[in-house]
Amino acid sequence: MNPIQIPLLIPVTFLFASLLTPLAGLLGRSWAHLVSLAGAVFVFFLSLKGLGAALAEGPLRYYVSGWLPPMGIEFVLDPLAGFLEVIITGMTVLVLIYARKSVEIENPDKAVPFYTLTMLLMTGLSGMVITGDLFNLYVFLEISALAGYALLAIGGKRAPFSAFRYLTLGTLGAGFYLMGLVFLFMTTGTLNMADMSRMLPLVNGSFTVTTGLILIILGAGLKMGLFPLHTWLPDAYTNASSAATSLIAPVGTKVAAYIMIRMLIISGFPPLIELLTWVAAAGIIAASILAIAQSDIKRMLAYSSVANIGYIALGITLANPLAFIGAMLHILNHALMKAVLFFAAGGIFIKMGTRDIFQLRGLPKKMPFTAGAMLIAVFSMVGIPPTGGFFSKIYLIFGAIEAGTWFFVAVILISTLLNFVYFFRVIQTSFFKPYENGGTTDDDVKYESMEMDEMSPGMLVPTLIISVVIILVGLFNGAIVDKVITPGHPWFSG
Amino acid sequence: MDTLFAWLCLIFPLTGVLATPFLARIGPAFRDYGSVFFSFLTAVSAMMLLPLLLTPEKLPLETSYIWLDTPIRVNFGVLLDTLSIVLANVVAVISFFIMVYCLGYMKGNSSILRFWMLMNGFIGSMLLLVFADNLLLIFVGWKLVGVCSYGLIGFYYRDEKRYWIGGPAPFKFDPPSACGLKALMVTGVGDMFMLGGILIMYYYSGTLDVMALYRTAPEWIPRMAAAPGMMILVSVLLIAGPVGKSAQFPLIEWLPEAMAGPGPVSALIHAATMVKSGVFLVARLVPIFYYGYWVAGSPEAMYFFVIVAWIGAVTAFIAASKGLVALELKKILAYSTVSQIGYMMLAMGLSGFRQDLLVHGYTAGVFHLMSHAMFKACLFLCAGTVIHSAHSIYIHQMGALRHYLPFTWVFMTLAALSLMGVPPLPGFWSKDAVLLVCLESQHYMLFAVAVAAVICTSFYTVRLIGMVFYGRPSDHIRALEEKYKTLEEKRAHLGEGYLSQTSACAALTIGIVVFSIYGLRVEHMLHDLFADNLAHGLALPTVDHTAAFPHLLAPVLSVVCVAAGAVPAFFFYFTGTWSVQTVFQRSNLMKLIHIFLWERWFIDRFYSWFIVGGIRRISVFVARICETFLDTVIHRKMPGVVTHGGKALLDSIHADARDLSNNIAYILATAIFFIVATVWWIR
Amino acid sequence: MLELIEGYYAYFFLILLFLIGLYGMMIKRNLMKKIFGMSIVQTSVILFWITSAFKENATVTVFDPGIGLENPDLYLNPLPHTLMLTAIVVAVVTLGVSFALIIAIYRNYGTLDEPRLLERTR
Repeated sequence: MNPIQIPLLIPVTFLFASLLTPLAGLLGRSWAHLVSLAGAVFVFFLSLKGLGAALAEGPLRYYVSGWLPPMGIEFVLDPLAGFLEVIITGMTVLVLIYARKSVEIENPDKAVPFYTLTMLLMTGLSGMVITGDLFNLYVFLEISALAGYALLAIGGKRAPFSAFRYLTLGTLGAGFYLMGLVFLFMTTGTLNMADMSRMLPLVNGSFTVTTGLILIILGAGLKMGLFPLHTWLPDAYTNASSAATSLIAPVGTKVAAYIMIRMLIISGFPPLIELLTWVAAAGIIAASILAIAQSDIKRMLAYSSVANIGYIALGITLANPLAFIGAMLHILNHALMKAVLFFAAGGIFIKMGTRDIFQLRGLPKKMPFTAGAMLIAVFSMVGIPPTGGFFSKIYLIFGAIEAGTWFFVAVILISTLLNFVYFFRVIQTSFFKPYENGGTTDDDVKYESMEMDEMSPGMLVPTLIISVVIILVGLFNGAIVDKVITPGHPWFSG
Repeated sequence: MDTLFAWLCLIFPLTGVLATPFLARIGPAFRDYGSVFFSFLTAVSAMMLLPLLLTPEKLPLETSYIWLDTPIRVNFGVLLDTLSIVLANVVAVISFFIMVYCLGYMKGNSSILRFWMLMNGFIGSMLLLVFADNLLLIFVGWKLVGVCSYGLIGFYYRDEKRYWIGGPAPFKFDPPSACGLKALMVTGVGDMFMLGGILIMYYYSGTLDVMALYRTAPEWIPRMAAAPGMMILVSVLLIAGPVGKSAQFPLIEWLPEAMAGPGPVSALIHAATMVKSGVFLVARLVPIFYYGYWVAGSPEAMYFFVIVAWIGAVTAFIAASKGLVALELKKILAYSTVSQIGYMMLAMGLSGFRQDLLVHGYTAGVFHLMSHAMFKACLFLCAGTVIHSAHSIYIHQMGALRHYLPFTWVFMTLAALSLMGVPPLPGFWSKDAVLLVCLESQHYMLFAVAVAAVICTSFYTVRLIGMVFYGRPSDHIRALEEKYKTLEEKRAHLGEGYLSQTSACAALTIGIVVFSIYGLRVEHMLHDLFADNLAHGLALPTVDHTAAFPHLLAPVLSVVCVAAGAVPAFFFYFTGTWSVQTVFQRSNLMKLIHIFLWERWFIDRFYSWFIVGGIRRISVFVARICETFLDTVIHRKMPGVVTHGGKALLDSIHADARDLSNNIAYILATAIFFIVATVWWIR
Repeated sequence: MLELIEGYYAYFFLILLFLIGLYGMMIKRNLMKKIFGMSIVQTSVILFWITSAFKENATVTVFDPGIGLENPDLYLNPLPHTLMLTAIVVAVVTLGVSFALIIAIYRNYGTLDEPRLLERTR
């Protein structure tokens, strides 16, 4: 296969899979699952190959139907896009493996729509990553968003309502994006990203361009759940089915963050970037405090997502190589950790029947492997070496030091402390809750009578795989930074 | 390609650690033999590196992978040079024999799984430390070794009475868990200093890589020497680590208590390997400071060698003198270990004194390290068997055991003679090399101290052998003989241990014998290798050595000293011609000296009083005044302010609002804020 | 001031339309009406694009034999029109999905009044 076709094949394969999945669903649920999984695995290998090719030979460009840019639409797979693509497709494969059993238990009659929508969502997300055209990006954004609304609406009784709010706010965000784009289009007359980045310096500082960029960044911020635009996120994540959450939480917001990176690269970092840094810092602290206030584990994780999006935004907007590496590494790490945590939360809800973090006592006794995987993810979240989270945080801190902004160093450190508080509450109740009154209370009796009841292998294996990957990422972060992120870096590649 | 075996040396033990729990599921035999098999593979891989020594022009070899890139570049790699190959072989081969011994010694222990995992983990970390190609990785291995050692010293962490060490009865006992903690903390003090030294060195050199440090020495050493006192500071900080790990003079006190672990652990960690890592690190640093003094011309660099040499000499004497009166078998061996490591340190320190002594001192240190590892491991393994059969850790409760333990008697006597330095055993060759260097350096004070230590060594060694295997059986042994009447019972309870134990000791004894035949040749080979490594490879300036003293002076002196210590001990403890009691009763001076030595020069007392007691006294103050205050502020007020206050603030602005109008209001507010702020900014 | 209004009156109307949409989304309690507001916002954005294609003295972007192809300045910019076709499709699909969600909400709770729904999902 010619590597030049990979940029096109990635979204197109997902699109075809989304068409084939409902047809396969007529034969049975497992066929639908198989088709979507096969599609995802295929695209995962495609993106690996594409990343390899992009690293070896420079960006892969595909001109749709032969129209050359800036007139036609081009798909670009540069190392940065390839990195994101590998992350999101890899996560999709693992989530699909997990989803089979999880959907079977939670929403058996929605299984076929779930797989179909997953494929559609991935069409949009992978397209967003790979496209080189700003309007095309909008189209893919809406594809992924629409699929996302529907996906998040699969779940309990409350899910449609929270998905509805996501829909209204998401549409507003997309509207902002489109509105900002028209400003840029009016001043530059082009929609191609490369062309735009050549044009923008000529008109930089103009009020129209600035407003347009602000609107676009607000749109992206809404989609990625950047504080204070995050308000749709906690409800949507809490009420959706665990498989849907564990797909969208690690993957969806990261791609929105990627749009922000692209826009900032294209626009050459306008003055509002320092503003964004402050917003991101406020978001880190505020979301961490809100996470402490929660008692529902999924809601807590949702707020923690908001905080981590803040880290990513902080790393991007500090605008120096080290912080950028930190942000990219954190995109990877956060995708991994959140997947494990949401996987575990789903499994815990199935097996222990609760999402209250104060009811998790006996988790390691009942589900030792889940508890172990969760422990690794928590360590990574808090930033304990040698897990991956430690290294992304350390890069962020070094980036902030290099920028000379000690305030943000303090913000990262304080937020680490807050992370510690809300995650170790979980660890403390599940692992170390002491006996009261010599073990005679009902709770203690229940704890004593607990037996091992681990989640089914289909759900456990992806969880364990990712938790191992978290450690591997920590151990080999040097190689990842050196080989993948640095070449993809806008300042390094020159 | 050649470094593959070095990687295997790291991979096999760590695989062993991970595999042991799974092997334990299959069956106890798989668990035991499996973990020994992994150490066997390690030993084989290490031995496969030996052919590299025949082609020294290929060394040093290095393979490394990037571990951390930004902000500081740290590699994960192996460095193969003469020093690391020699030391890796010492570690891997001896630890394999010790693992074999453990098959018998630890049989039936309920926590044996933990034991195997810790042992393999220890071997792996020790080899990591040896092969590491940069100082940070060395430090990682260094700490891992410390942690494994902590786990193994406190192996009997339930602190049953029979595992206590110390005494006898009126004197105080220490439970194993406390001993483990003591070792961890005392070595930790040194480690922290060492980390500081490494960081200062990194500050000046910009690299942690060992070879790069050697290579770029012309650039950074003058810079470091330019700061007054910096060389001395770095020397002191860097020496503190080895001093802690090798139990040298100021941090001497943890090793005797470390004998609370199982017998083979003492052999592995506290005789053959871990305590040698200090010598290893000093050997790694010698070229840097040698360069600093002899090439860069920084007079402060000489302090490194002076400090090392004096610490070594003083430790050798102090520890040997403590051994004169100790009663616990393993503690005597521990003192002797400390004292012998003192010799190695002495040799390392002397290597920088004069240009002609560099290679000689370096070789003597490493050579003594090799021979000592062998005979001390053998001594400890035999001691394990002896303690097991005598049902006591005190030598005055033994006596005439040669009838029950004929093999152990032979092995232990040979090893002990080697320790004393009786020709032609390996201890003689290596100790003689150290003494020769010391004499040639013409620092007669150092030489006098070293010679005094030789006399003490031979005295306590003969005393040890005499009280254990000769003389009359003690009351304790008689009682045991009464208890086990029949021959079978006696053989079972008082006789030799399992076959694996005896064979491991035998293997080490054979090693000693072989080494005694080839000892001189090995020394010459090492000398050539290091000459090649240091003088040619690292281009350190050396001059050819011309002996200032007659060639036979040092060997003759050392034999005379051995005899001076051994002869009185022989009459006291073998023949019983002289009575210890009489001498002790007759003179008050003897009594005072005895108390002084029995209390271990009061060093431990002083530390307990000053540090432990001092901290306790401070703790009262801290608990009453600071802690209450800080507790209120940090644990009650601050979280309250952060979480409740922050939550109240966020609630007041509806940060987690769920209705759409609030959400949209937020978005609009943010948009307006952004636009206004940016416009303001642009203006 | 008057020139500003006269020259850019289309934009003022579009902003008004946008604000009406936002008003609907924010103030109306019924979810259905919120959707209407959302739709109006989308429409205003689409019209914004169409306005950006405007040129003075130009005609619609349909090939006119009377003008020919020699002078493209006489046609409006066709690109925004084509793009907005896609955007309209997206808007319609969004509407469809939102109606589906509203049906699901009504099935689950029997009301579309937002404060009541918030009360019940607390």
